Amino acid sequence: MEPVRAMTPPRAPRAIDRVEAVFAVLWPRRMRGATGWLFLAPALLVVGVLAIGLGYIVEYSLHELDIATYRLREAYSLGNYETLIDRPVYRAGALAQPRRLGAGDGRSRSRWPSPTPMR
Amino acid sequence: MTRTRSAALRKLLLIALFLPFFIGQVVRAYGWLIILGKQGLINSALAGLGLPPLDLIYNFGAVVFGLVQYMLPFAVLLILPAMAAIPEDMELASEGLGAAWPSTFRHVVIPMAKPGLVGAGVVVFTLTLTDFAMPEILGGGTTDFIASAIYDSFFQISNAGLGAAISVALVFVGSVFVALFFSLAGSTTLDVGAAE
Repeated sequence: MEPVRAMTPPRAPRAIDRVEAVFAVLWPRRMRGATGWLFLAPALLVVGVLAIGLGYIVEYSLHELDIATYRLREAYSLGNYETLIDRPVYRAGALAQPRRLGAGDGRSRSRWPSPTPMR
Repeated sequence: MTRTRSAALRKLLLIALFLPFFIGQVVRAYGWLIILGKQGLINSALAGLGLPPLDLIYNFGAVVFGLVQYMLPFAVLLILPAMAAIPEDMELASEGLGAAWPSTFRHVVIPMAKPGLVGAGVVVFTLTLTDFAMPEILGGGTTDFIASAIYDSFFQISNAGLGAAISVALVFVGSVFVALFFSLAGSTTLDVGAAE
């Protein structure tokens, strides 16, 4: 009868055990209540950064384009939202508007109204 | 697909469904251009039969077709687990009690798959609402989607303010629709672990 040899665990699980041991030191049992938040943290961080971007978008939307300088005016206004409401192309564009706009069929020119006053 | 007896067929269907995921949206849209274009596969076949060519691209129908084809795997991916979780016995019991299969589907399968259907509806709606590539490529600039309007405002007419306003409107419209969707479907439909 062959002597029973102690089985050596595969390398990968041993490495994972070591990583887990390190985590156990870095993240002790008393902090386990916050483990869920630890896993959520990256997602929350990304969403938070995105929210900052959205904040800027909201801020930009409150400045009208100055045609003379082609920059956004410093003054706050709801002009862009008025444009959205006034122009049928935007008003009807909640999803899709199956009709041709702009000049010609091609995309050499924008389909959307030019920033120059048209109202 | 969930009720397919053959495991091989089920795998084949899954592969067929998810294969488009490995191909980018733009490449897929161009693939449809090749098939549906003026000198594409379908119009060549029609010409071979002596029939006039059809306008299959650069119109609203083409965009809808492209979006449906693009969104279908997303919807199936979300509905499939909900459908698979319904015990077949329920359907058999319903049929055993005299319900025809459409009644079984309407009164048993759909109510039980509601979380999956709601999730799929919300995901597909929001992705469609913000899609850019399909309307641009298959619509050829003839169909106006909000994402196209935002792109044009920022990069074609350089009006960042207007583009930002349309973006805010998009977020608002999307949020309202999703809120409406949840209020109609029941706000607790997608609650995870809330009943504990």
